[in-house]
Amino acid sequence: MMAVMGEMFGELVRYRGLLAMLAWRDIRVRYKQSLLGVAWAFLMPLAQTLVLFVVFKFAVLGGTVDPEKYDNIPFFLFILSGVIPWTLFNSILASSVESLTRNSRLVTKIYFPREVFPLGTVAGALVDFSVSLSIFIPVYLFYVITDPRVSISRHLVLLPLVLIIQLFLAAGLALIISMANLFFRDVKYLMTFVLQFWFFGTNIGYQFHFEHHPALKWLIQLNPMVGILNAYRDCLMGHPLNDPLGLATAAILALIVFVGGWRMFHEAEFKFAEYV
Amino acid sequence: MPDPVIEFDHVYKKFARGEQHTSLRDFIPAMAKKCWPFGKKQTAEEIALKSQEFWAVQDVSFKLHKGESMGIIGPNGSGKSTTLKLLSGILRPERGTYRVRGRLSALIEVGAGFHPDLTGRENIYLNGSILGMTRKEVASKFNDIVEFAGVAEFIDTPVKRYSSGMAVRLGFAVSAFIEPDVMLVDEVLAVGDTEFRNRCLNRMNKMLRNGVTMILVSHNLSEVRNLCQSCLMLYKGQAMMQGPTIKVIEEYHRIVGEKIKIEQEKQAAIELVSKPESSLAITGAQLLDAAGEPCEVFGTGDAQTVRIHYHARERIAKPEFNVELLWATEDYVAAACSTAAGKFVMDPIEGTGHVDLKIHSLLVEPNVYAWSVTISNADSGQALDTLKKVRFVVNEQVPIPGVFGLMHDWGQPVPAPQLPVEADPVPVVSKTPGAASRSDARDRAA
Repeated sequence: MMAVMGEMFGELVRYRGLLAMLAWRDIRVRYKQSLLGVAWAFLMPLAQTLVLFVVFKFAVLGGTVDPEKYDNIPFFLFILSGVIPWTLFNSILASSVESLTRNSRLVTKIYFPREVFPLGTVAGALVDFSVSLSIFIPVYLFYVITDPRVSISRHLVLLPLVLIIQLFLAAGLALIISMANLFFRDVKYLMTFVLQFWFFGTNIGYQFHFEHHPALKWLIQLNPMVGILNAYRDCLMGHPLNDPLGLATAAILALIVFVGGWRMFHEAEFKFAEYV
Repeated sequence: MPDPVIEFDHVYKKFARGEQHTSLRDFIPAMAKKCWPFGKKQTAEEIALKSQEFWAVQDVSFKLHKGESMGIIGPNGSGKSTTLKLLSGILRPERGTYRVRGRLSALIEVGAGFHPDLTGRENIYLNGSILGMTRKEVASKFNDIVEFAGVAEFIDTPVKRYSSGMAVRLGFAVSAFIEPDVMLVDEVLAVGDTEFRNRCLNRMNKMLRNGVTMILVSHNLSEVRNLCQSCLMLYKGQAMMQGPTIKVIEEYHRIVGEKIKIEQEKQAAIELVSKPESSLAITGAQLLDAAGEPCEVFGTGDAQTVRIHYHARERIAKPEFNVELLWATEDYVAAACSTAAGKFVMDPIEGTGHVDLKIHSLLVEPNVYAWSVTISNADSGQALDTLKKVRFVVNEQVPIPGVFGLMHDWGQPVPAPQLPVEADPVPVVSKTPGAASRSDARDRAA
């Protein structure tokens, strides 16, 4: 088992140049012939944040936000810090699902580890994510300065770990769904629905308060994105993790999904050229 | 002897006909079994063919050492490309083993990794890395690639604006500059103009001289003949013959010839039924060798007589006989027309008879050929009857470099004769270099 994983990893390392190249291609193609180009990487999450902010603040909450219900986080920062990681997650899954079928010519004609396609979309989404930080960091610093509830503390160092957990989860799912879609094209239709459902099951525009609904609480605990977003927000606010169990669950799930997904992908890989 | 670079040992690969309806019910247990780390190997019955399945490659073996080159020929669907895909690792065989030592590069589809929205420059880097080159390697060869492809002025234009020929040239150029140990080439030269094709062939020849091991799949037999020492003929997934290229190609010609002959007979039967009453019918055509014996297989440089039998129901005052030489691919090669340039005007014909066309020397590349014979009325220009696919095979006898041979003689200017000077007693004259070369020339002429 370990030997196989080592071999898989070694092969991937050898083809890292190709992985980078494919990610670069995806980004390059995405913003070709567009006036705003890479600015879309932060305009999209920003627009989504504004929509959620307006809808929830004025339409749902009637203009007043109870900070208690939002873990004492400034409402705009709460939403933005949910939307940006969610956008990363969402774009990985949405673009990886067709990453193999879209490249069927390469899959049937040239040999290289096929992992580079779904993992390439992870890398591509990560670049967009980095660009979107250019809007997040100023907004965050603004709140650090103006709002006494937000402060930078040593807890911020946990942030990269949370990101890594999220990336492993997304990469594992990307491997699984890209492979599944190669065999059954139903998967890509299913994914649009699943992502929509998942969006509402994640604490992006609201925080869950299911103290009185144990069944729902239990269900929400299973969504690794909830634990991940909570951890992000705790790090950003500068206080220790409120929900360490949520993050631990997410980490374990991410590991299982990633290792299992990659293993399955690797086993099925040689059939891709025949079935695509 | 060192280990072979390519070993292909009794390899089997099966495919399924029709659409693959993999149901979830079959798929999930199968996948689960595969992922189970303690699973047993597939048993022989599990490998056996199910209905709808067929062997795309069946029990094929070969070995190649460093610097050797092998051609794979065979009709469409005979498993040539599948063999290459197995070698490159895209497909996995059901049975048998294969092994490739060293860096492998497969030219299975030129420019497969091109993205139409990216510029030529960007695509060179992208395609290079798809083919296994590092960024640095591509950068160091970038100028050579652009020059080879001849697209320098369009290098910063998106590939979607390229003509298809340009895109192909660029694709091949990138592949041509990889430095693999093993090169698999699948029918990639079918596109591109002649000049570019020659450049590619030269490049491949150079790679062979540098010790690359190459497998070439092609329908262009002269390419195979020029590049490969040995050859494998596949038919329906099986190795029909394996050996020196010339021998295998001869056998291939024979088989293709047989097939054409069967088709030709079928065609003739159909035409006989459907042919409207015309004033003249070509009743047959015979090919005769130098001895006047009917023959279907000729050697390069042989003489050939095409005897055309006709039956004219009425008198045709000015008949015109036209024969066209075609490749098996129906490409037009050459023609001979009895009235061309007023060379020979046939006598009026009536009733049953025949005319002969004498070819002095078949100076054409070894291949399968067919004559297409037409008799028409030179007065009205109306074609009276046509007989197609009078096929014959030309095998290598006199080497013909290229597509056809040239009837030629070499000569050197003969120096003006030097008149012997009577009074000169010194017998030097006969020993002058001029005299010597003159006598040499005479010897050669004799």
